[in-house]
Amino acid sequence: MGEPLPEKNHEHDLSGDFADISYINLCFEKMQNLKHYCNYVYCVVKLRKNINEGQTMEQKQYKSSLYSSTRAKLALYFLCSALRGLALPAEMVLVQRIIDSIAAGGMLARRYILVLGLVFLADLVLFHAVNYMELLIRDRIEYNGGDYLLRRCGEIRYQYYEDGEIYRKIQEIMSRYKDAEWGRIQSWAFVLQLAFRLTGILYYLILAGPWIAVLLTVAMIPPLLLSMHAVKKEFVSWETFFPFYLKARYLTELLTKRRSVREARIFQYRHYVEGAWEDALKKFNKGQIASNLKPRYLTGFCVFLQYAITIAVLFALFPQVQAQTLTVGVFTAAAQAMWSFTGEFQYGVIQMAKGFQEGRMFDEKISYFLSLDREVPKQVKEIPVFCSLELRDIWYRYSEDTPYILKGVNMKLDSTHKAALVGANGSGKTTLIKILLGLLVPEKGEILLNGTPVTDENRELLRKSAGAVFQDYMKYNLSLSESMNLGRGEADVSEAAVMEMFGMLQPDGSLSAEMRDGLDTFLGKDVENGRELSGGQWQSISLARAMLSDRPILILDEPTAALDPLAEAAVYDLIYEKKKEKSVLLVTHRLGAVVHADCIFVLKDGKISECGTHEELMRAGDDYAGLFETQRHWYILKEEKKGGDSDEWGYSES
Amino acid sequence: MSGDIPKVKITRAVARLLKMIFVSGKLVFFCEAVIVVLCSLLPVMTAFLWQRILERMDRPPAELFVLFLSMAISGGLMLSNGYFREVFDTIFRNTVAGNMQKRVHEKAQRLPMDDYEDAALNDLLTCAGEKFFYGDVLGFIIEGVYAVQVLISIVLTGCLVWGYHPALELPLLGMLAAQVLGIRLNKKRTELDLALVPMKRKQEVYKEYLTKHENIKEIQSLGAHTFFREKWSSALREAMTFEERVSRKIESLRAAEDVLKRLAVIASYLLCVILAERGMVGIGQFGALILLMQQFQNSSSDFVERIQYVHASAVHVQNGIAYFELPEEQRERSLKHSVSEITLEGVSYRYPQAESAAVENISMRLKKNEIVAVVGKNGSGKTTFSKLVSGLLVPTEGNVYFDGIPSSEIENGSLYSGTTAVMQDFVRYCMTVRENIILGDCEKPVSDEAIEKLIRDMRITFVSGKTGITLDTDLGVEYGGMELSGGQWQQLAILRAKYKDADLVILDEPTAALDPLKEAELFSAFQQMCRGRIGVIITHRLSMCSFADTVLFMDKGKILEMGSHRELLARGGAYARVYQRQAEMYKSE
Repeated sequence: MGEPLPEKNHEHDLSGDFADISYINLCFEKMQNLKHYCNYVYCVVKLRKNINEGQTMEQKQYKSSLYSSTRAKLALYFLCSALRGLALPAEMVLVQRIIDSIAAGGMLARRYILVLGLVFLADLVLFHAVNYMELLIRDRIEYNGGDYLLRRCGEIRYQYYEDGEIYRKIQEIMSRYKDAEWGRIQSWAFVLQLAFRLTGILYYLILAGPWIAVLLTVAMIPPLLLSMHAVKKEFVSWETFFPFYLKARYLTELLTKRRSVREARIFQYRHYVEGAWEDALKKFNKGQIASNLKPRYLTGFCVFLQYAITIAVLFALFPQVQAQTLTVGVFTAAAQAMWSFTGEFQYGVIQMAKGFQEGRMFDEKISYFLSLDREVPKQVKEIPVFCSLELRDIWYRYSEDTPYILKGVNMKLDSTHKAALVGANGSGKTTLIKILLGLLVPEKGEILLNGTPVTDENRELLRKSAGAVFQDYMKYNLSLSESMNLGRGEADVSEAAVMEMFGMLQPDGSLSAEMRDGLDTFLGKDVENGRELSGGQWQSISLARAMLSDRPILILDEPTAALDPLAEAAVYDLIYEKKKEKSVLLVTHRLGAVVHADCIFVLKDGKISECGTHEELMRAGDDYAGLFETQRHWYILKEEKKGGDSDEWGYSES
Repeated sequence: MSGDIPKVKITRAVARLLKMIFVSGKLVFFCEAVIVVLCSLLPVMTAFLWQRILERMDRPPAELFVLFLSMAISGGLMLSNGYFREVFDTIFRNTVAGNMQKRVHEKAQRLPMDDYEDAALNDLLTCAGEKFFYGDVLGFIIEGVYAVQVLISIVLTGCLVWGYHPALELPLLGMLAAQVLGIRLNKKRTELDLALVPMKRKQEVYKEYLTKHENIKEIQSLGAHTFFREKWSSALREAMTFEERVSRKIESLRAAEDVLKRLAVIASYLLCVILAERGMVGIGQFGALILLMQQFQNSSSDFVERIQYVHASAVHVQNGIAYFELPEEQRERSLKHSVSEITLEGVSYRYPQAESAAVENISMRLKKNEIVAVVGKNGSGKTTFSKLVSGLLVPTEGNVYFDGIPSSEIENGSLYSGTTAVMQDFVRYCMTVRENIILGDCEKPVSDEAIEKLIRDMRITFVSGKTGITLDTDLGVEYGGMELSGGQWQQLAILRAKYKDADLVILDEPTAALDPLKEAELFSAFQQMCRGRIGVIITHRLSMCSFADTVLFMDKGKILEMGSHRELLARGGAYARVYQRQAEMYKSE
């Protein structure tokens, strides 16, 4: 029956490799007979064991760093939470005494009330102490864990960030590590508290009759299991239907938000989108009802059942009260305790189960993250004088099941060369830039820096030699001096140098004028109330940083996209005339800007199809010439028709 | 109508909301009312049953069986109804809130486009509508319903207790008073909480620098990872120190709040005991009282919490209703099928709250079979011009006539049925490739062959087996789809515009994100799109003007020069100068 399971030798293969989780899931899905079931259990047990042993050195390190210098607080937190569990039994004792005393007609009850007040007060103090400690511990976890994980984020290979799946995991880890860890701690605290409460209740029940205690305990197990099961199910399937909710919300936004409302009118697509919206909601609801509400139903039923059992127990105790072997006080106190217990119990159990479940799932993610390859950067003392950077037969693809983006790229940048890289959308320019910067490691081929091959050992040298201004340059919320000194090895830049550079980049002086406090001007509004700049100004800041940096190679990706024509001309002037000592690779669609380059590389279908100066390439008459012609064509079209006085425009030779 | 945000009185807002709920789902509305009343009865009923049981201690157990059974049912329901209610809440949301949301969608299509340009209305437009289904208005309703339920049971408790002994009202009132005092302390707490927000934001920003995909390449290539990690850690430490200091205060405020509440409870117990000791309440009543007091404490704090939420979210209800009360466009006339001429007469447009007009005193005529190119610097009014021509915006002065009918009077469906456009800020629909295209005209029966032919005709190559992108590929990384480059998204926008048959074609910077080759390829496609229609092309690339019949050179909202490309060049004015500058870059040496 069924498909055969993929063969796997337990003895050898389950060496704690996390790929096995998927195997286990497979076993689980195909579980059809006893053998499969045994297999499943075996794997899970083995894996658990492995998780706890060898593989997770990293994770142990992480865990221990997480709790460093919080252990005492943690212990205190558990203690206080546990003590709070005593409040309920104490209250029960007192209520019993009060009622008994009233029933007996005595006057002791008032005293008990005062004691009850003290118990309340103690509980209150504990409660707030626990809250405060919660804050301290949470903060500590956030700080310690964040520090450890962020360090990792900087060390893992860059290409992981390009992989959607891994990237999502990283995002999830970074946003939830604190809560996941805290959830677990809270669950443990709850377990401790529960133990105390249960003891108190059992004490009363044993007073009433041991058999009742046993009966009630046994009766609580099925509801408990049921709600645990419900939580698990809810947790697992939430991820499968929640996207439909997000989708529905997105569709609503399409119909109501400013950014799409114009198109919504022009194309009149409300009915279509509303249909899709209803569809998404239907799917969401279906999922929610199946996996979220049914468990809720069940839990509600469990609570009901538990309470009914409690009442049944009370009913069973009733003859004893009448026979006066049990006082009214005990009876009432037991009733009340069970009352408040039932309500909190289910809720608490759900929270606890959630906490543990989430913690466990999160552990898997963390340990996956920690197992990612790292490249710990070697410190580079001095950047060697730059002679050349050469790519030899570079091949690259983002994953094994996608086509190659780069298929054997050869190119060479010389010192003081002003080179340019052109190519159509999607020809692989961005990938090539990342390879030149040492961010991506090519699958095949060699990178030579000053004639020496770049390896894992000395990649840092390449990274320190090449700087970049990306198309989507960042807008750092930092002070101007911090921003200018980013990534600088040597001494800080002077204010005069910065202002001079700003003057060159924005000849109208608008950028320097913006910096009211000189180097201390704070940029960006996100963090402090700094100065918000325009897109062009931000781009100039990025350019200034690159120009002032000590890196000999600069890669500029569409560096003038946000600039006005005046500033644009200034940038090219800077590149070609003023900053002769830098070797520049200019990446752009605007071919007018690359005419003066010493060497133009044309990237086509993952290969350098042509290279040479503008004149050479024009003479060759291939892709570049074609591209250039098209762009220029627009400017001469009518002129030529008019009668060929193109000399005026200087286009006559080609 | 610009300028002030409309305000709606809360009483009227709630009344209108109730009416909307009632209209959106009568059955659900009644069910909800019945459930509220039943649920609010449960606590008092349970306590009453318990009193009865304690009073009949001396009867044979069999006589009490019914009492125990009812107690089990009523108490069990009381504890578990919250879980069942969630199911009902879901039904409520799907029917009532869903219907209300649909009305929001409809409303959004009827508002004048001016409103979307009005900064003062911005908040109302972007937030208010969504809140009905996804946010606080729904919360307001659900919490409000619970609050009513709790309120009923509080009142019932008061009545029952009055029957025991009128003096017992005192502790109840005391507990309520403690809760209300608690609100004041709570306010103080919220202020402190708010002070924390900017602190937290700072470290979030630095964390994003270190982990977000779009940032990481620059950080890594700069080697600035350590720098920002230290920034993050000092920002977090700062926030933590501040938070710990603040939360000591917050925690003591909370403790004070709790002490108040607990004192009230103890006082009420004491009163009960005294009354019991004096024989003014029986043992059964005493047992019930203990139960009631405890419940009362819970429900009063529950009530206060919910009321606070209701209070806080009331403004969203007001906004939501204000949104529905925004005046709609009054457009009734319809066009005969095809538009052959659009005339602008003295058209000016000033954005709400803007100091000067974006477009000023433009008169011209757009004819079928003619292409108008609009050029000019950023902010010269090009896009506003296109919005006026399409009828999206109604001029503040002058009129735009579609075959003689002012655009302000033409009903939406008819006005837009003959228009297609590539917007400057075209939308990237997180849907399938197919949907991205057919959204252009949803009425048209969907045929994959037609779509594929369109893609072939436009020579768009990225939708092919080679790239793995098919018509069924989901797009948009936020919703789990594939992410396209800016140029690819723009090509989809062009396809979408082309998919719709129209009399008026508006292309606003249609090639801004494309590489020169693609741009050149699409050139002829644009010409073809405009053929036999009224064509408006907005561009900053003067070279595109060569195929236009008329060129508008705009500056500061006015037409600086108008004429054919050749005429303008010959005139040697501003247009010719700019053209020359752009052409200069392609001069060979």
